[in-house]
Amino acid sequence: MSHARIDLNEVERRAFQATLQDGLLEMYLGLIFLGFGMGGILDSVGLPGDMSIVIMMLAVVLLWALREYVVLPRMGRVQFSAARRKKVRNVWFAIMASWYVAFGVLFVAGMRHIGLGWAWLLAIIAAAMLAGFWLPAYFLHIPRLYGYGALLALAMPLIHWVGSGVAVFSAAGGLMALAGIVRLVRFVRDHPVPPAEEETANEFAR
Amino acid sequence: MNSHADRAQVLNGIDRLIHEPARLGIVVILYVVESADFTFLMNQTGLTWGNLSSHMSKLEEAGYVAIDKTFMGKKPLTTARLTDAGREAFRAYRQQMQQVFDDLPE
Repeated sequence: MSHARIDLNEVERRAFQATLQDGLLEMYLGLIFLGFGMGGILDSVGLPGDMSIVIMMLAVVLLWALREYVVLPRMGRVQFSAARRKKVRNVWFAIMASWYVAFGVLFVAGMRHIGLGWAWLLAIIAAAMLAGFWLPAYFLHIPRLYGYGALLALAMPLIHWVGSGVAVFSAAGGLMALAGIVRLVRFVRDHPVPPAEEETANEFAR
Repeated sequence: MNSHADRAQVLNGIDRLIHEPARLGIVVILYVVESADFTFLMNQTGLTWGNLSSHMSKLEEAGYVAIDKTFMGKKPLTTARLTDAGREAFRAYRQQMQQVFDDLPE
């Protein structure tokens, strides 16, 4: 650590970004978008579409287990400051708000029988997607979310051209989940499990 | 600071416990978070487990760091946080170092 001017904001930002290197964020996001398309995919192969709920729940449990038993023993546990926790909370509120606004616009248009047309429909959803990814990318300094947001926003016109939201959402979700898996593999390779805490406790006690 | 003597006096007063690079790294990380376990600190500072333990001992002896030992299920979990004294000591150290660097001639 240099004794020159220490940028504490930069140190805190890097510490926070370190907790997002495990790929689980991509896997959760990929799972959400795969979930949009999973029912349709299951139907198309002759399986009940309701199975998608069970599969999603199992996937969430799997991701939780990955975090508890694979990631945290390697990454360690940290409690960030109240300011950081508040910032993360505010970003989530902003994301929720952007989706409420998008769905609100669509709902009102539907209620008033305003024919928006595909272009407007997809543009509104694309805008909500961008907000959902670009807000945390900017305020929480997670630059890769800019790319994911752009990928999903650009996927919106594809739904109209391909004619299948299932295929597009599944492909986008699958790509994100795959990126998450690659990150996780790299994380596990670069972060071996440290010595057991018992050894630490003994060393510390000496 | 107007003279070499003034600068020397400030430098002599620097908290050497915090000034050591490895311990400075630990204190900086703990300053920007509420608490962290040894694994997180090891990853952030690049120290080995043994080095980290040794430096943490010194910081705890000085009252700058508090170590909490709990259990996560059956596994022991050791977390560290800066005490109020540790935060104050780091703020004072940072102020002194900024003063030293600000007064250095170009």
